Amino acid sequence: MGEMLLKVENLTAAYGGIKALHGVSLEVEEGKIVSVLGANGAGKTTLLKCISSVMKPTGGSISFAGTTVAKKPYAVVKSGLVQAPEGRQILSSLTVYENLMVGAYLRKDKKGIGDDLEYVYSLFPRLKEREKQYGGLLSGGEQQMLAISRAIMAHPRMILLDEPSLGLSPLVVSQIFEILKTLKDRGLSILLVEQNAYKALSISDSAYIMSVGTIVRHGEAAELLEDDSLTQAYLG
Amino acid sequence: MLLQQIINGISIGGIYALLASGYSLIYSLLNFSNWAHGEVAMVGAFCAFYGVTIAQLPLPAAAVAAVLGAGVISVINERFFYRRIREKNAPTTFMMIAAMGISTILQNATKNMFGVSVKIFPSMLPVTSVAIGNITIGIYDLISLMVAAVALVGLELLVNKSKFGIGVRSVACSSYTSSLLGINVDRILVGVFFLAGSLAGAAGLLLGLKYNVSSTMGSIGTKAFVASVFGGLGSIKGAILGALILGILETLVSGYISSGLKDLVTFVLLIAILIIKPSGLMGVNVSEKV
Repeated sequence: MGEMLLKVENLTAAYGGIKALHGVSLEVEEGKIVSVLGANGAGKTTLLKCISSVMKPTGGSISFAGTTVAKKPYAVVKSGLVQAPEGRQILSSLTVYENLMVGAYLRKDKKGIGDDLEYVYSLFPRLKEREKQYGGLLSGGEQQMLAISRAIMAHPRMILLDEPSLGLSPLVVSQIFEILKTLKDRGLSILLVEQNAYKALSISDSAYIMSVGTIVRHGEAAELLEDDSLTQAYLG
Repeated sequence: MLLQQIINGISIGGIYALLASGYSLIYSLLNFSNWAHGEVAMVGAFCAFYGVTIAQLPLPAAAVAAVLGAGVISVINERFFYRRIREKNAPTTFMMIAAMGISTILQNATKNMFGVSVKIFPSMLPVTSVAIGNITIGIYDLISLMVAAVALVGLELLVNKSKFGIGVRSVACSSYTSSLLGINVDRILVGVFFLAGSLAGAAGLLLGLKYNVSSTMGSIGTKAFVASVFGGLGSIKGAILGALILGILETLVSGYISSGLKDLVTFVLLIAILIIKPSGLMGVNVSEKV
């Protein structure tokens, strides 16, 4: 067993008085892809917001690489944990290149930034072609490629991906999920939040299934993939 | 004659542009009108004035005092007031109200400390003018023009070409996403307030040299605000263009109609233009937000 890179314990969170997470615990081992699956409103995005410190949990703990996650979102990124947020959140009035440079904003190693830029362009040649275009002009698939590439530019140990398949054609989804496997082979750990359960399980090592703010099931991806009752009950 | 008036208009418009660009910059990041911006310019003018009269500084050193003094007061406003309001997740209107409060506080504090009397810079440069063909331009106007041109070109380059500029435009696009991607938004804002404040300080000094220094001179901020709205709030280029047009309009009205009607006619024209083009000259276009 490798080291547990991310450890969430008994996490609770609320919007105003309305509880969104009721004691969520999960772990991501270094170098693995772990999925969090569940229908809309299960609390998946809330969980990621807490991990990235853009939302303050009401209880529980989150540790990354053995230490409690930083309080400021930029400091979380600095510690090696970066998020490609829901809806891609491309900076529309910045060019593709500038979006990537925002991803690398905390870094000072010019050489490393150059190497990573070349790497993401090799993963997604489309982005290189559109380097000078405004982010807002990209198609949905290209925006998702940019969102993932932007996260890679931070040179993280772990990426949090929020619904990368949302609104994309099956072909583009397959292409992006193939890239996620490539990233894993490169040693990156990934926490993948998805509604597209089959797709996500097919590339994951293990998965957690969330429903109304709690984890209802946890297991190896292969084992969950075979359990029809489960997918019917929770994933629709 | 017309060309002469236009040159004069550009010279005063350049000073408005120094203020309006800062106004726009802060608006594009925080979505509120920083009503204290004119008083920041006033603080800069006072720093330079007392630098010259009490500390016996030469003009360039006094200019540095104006730029730094105004930059620092602008950062203090952000660090101790606006940020605290933001951290409570209050509506942006609260920041605008706080800015109005800061504006009044700075004005009254200055009045009480330094008196209501209007202060005039001792003459530091020979009263002379430069003739180019038929046009003559006063030495202070020439300096104003050059300072504004250099500062504003510098600002455009900084915002569009530097790493800090990418951070600024990223935060203007979405401060939430920026923080998620690793940008220290608070630090960017401190930089932006310093930058906007220093530009205002330069404007304050130039206004002080052209006219005089007083605790109420911050009211010039209203014109800068109008210029930035007119140009399209949130766009630096728009703010600069709006400020230049405002300056030229004012001079033309004073020159050809009456200086007493200057503000009246100018504002009527501006309102008319806003009705015809409500987004301002360069507003709305997403790719042009800063």
